[in-house]
Amino acid sequence: MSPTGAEDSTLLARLAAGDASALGALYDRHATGLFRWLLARGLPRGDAEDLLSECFLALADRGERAVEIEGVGAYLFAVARNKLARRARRPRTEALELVEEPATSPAPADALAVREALADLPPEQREVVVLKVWQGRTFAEIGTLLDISPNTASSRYRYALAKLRAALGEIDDG
Amino acid sequence: MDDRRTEERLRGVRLAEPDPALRERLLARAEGRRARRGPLLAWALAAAAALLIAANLVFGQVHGARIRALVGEPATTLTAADAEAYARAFAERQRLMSEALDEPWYPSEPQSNHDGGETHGARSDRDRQTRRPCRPAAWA
Repeated sequence: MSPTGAEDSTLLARLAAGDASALGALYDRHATGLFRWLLARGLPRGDAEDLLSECFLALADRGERAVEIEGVGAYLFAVARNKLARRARRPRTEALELVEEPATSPAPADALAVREALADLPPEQREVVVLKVWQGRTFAEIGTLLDISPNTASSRYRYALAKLRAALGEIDDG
Repeated sequence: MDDRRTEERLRGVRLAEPDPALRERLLARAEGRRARRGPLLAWALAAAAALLIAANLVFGQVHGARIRALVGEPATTLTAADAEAYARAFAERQRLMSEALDEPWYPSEPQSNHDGGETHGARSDRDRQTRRPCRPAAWA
């Protein structure tokens, strides 16, 4: 489920050689995961899309030096973290826009419940849950992307899952 | 509810995705920036070179002014009065040297480097006959 490094290296080499389509391919592989992580950090959808564009433009601006990047995912997340840190003082959105409007299956009630439960999590735990559950990343990969240790990622995930289980169980019981 | 069931339940919910139009906008912006980067780099290099030259000129002016302030304005032309004073000082120097060497000294008379075709030997003979010390023409 997570993008492989070998294909990323090939795409980076093409990007460095001036192949514009390589940026599109890299976007297809990494944009959704990065976008969801930005939403999980509490950004409004519009801001998250702006920041997503900035991250990929930073990648494109490297030109010939793009081949020096060892991991595209880690690079993009590092750029996004730096840009987020500069925006740290801006007010964040009140409503979490991570979960799509529940107009599709499964039952709308379940989607609403998950959205509420995710919104109640601290951002540090929510981002790990998103990367683990929806992006299929390992704890080692999450640690690399978020610049934390795999053990920290694992413990944050366990705490988050316990809270989610409790929240969803309460909703089911209620 | 165990962890696996919780994960499955979470996974069943659809998360937001970026606007599909964003991809095209991004690629267009990246292409535009790439096209602008070449000329921009050339302009930046030209501006840096111009700035360097201007800074060098300004530094030269400031440095020259500083040196002039320290040592004073140099004499740019030799006036007739300067040449006369120099000739007097030179004659005095010759007189003092003759005294020091215990040699006769003859007041200055117009001398020139032009020997009028006289050979060195002829001139030496003439000097010896008149007991006049032989002075190289370069002393004049």
